[in-house]
Amino acid sequence: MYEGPVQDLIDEFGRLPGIGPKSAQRLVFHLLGVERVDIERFAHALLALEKVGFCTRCHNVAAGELCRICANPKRDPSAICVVEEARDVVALERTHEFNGLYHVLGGALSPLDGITPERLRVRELMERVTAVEPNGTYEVQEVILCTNPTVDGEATAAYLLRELQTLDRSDLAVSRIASGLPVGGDLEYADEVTLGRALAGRHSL
Amino acid sequence: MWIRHLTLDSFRCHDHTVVDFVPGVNVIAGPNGSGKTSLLEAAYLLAVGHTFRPGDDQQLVADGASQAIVSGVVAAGGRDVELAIGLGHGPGVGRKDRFRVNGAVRRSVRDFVGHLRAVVFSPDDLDLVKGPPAGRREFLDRVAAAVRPGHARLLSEWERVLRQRNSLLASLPRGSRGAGSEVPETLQTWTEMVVEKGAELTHSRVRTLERLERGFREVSARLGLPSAGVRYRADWTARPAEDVMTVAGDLRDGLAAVAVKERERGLTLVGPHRDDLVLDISGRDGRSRASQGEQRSLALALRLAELRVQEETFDDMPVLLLDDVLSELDEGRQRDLFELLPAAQTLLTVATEDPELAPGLEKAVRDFATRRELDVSVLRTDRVERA
Repeated sequence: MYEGPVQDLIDEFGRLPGIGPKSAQRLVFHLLGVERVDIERFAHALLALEKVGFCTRCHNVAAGELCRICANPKRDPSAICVVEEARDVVALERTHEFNGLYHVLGGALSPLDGITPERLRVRELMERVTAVEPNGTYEVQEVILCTNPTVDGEATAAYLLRELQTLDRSDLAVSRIASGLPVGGDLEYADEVTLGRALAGRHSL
Repeated sequence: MWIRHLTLDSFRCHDHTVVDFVPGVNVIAGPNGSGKTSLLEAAYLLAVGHTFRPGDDQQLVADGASQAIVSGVVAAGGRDVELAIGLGHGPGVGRKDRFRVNGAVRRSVRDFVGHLRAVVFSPDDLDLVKGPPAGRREFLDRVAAAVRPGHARLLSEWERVLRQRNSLLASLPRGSRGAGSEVPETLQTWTEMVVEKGAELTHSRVRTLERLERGFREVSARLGLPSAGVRYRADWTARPAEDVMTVAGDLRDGLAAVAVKERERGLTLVGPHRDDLVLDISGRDGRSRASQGEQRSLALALRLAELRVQEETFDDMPVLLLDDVLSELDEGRQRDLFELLPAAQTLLTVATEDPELAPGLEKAVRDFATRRELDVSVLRTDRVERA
């Protein structure tokens, strides 16, 4: 055990994912040796997290009431891309392929971890999809299910599809992100399952 | 392919053992407890990432040591590959750097296996025939994983959906039993996942078994059991060999039929996790109604069939690991076995206190080696250099 503040900080670092007691100790001893301005900048950055909340519309991380994407008038509000985590929004944004809005579920269905639909932002998604504009039309026309191609993500997508189909909105387009071959990869290196799914999900030219 | 040499550090009873092999027949002779099987186990470990003997990894580490390292050099396709696997805890042996290929860390066992292929024949193989279905499912899944690249992932996906669904079923209130109680929407979702993955897994298993069966029929006939058969049994479908959609439909119906019971028990009661490989001789159940000798032949036939599938799939032969099987077989079956073995590197253990091999055995090994044009090397574990 170290002197109070040092041990306190080690304990705090130790709570972070991927950081064990040894790493926590190394980080703290590194910080003990850096300039005061650097410590202050680090502390400020940490404290600024207090002001960060979640977007009231899509539940992405946001500094204000709406996240930068939802607040951007150039984005197309008629399409919603449903993802598991806020990290996935960043990944999809890097593609510059999607100009709609997002919906962050906050995870995927997993009975083993006690994650039920109630623990995810499913109800909020259904409310967005059924929201009616002042002129009587629906704003959302398309939902793209972009949960991970894992067992849990697939189950979540299947569940959401069923729920969306019960909404009495036959005009709504629902799609699932394609899974298959990585770009730049060779066919010969793809495993049978990936190749099989890529083949099943082929599109005509 | 063949193993040039193996190095065992703190592995079972080996403090530090280095063994060189010839590409032909390597007879490993010595008294019981001298570490013969551990050598085969080390070779198997480098092939599949886990041992063929029961118990956890920690038991593989020598008493008094915290970590064991098994490494070896395999010659295959005109080049040498160095494989190493760490067990237990210690520097360089974390959960993430257990497996190395040519010195580079491989994160998962799936990225590690395949450089060395081995087929093991052991006295425990009798359990394949006599034991519970789980052992036969594991056998089939392992053969499938070796020859169908996607099977290992399919299996782990299946295990995940099964655990998820079981967890959900167990969490539902059991008091309100029967059809009247509310079924959550998510149960239907997980049921569909079980149907999809279960059907895909069954399909992959049955395709693998079709290939195994060809070799099995041929080999069992040579072993004196021309009417022996092997087939896939699933309680929920009579046509597991049909296309995936049909099989999925049967699994869906099977699950629907036990829905109420599943709610009571909190468990998935139907699916490929309960399937079996049924062995029979002219309709007699090989598990319960065959003689001990017939059961040994059936076990041998399964292993030889596994070997045939590997021969068909890959350009080069796997390494054959024969663990003390000869002592279990009568002379006729010993001869049959040697006649059916292909020209491949063979590691063969023989338990003996004598400095010389028994004359009959010696002759059988020499005849086999001559017929297949293989060199013979005899290695005594009581005289292996142990630094």
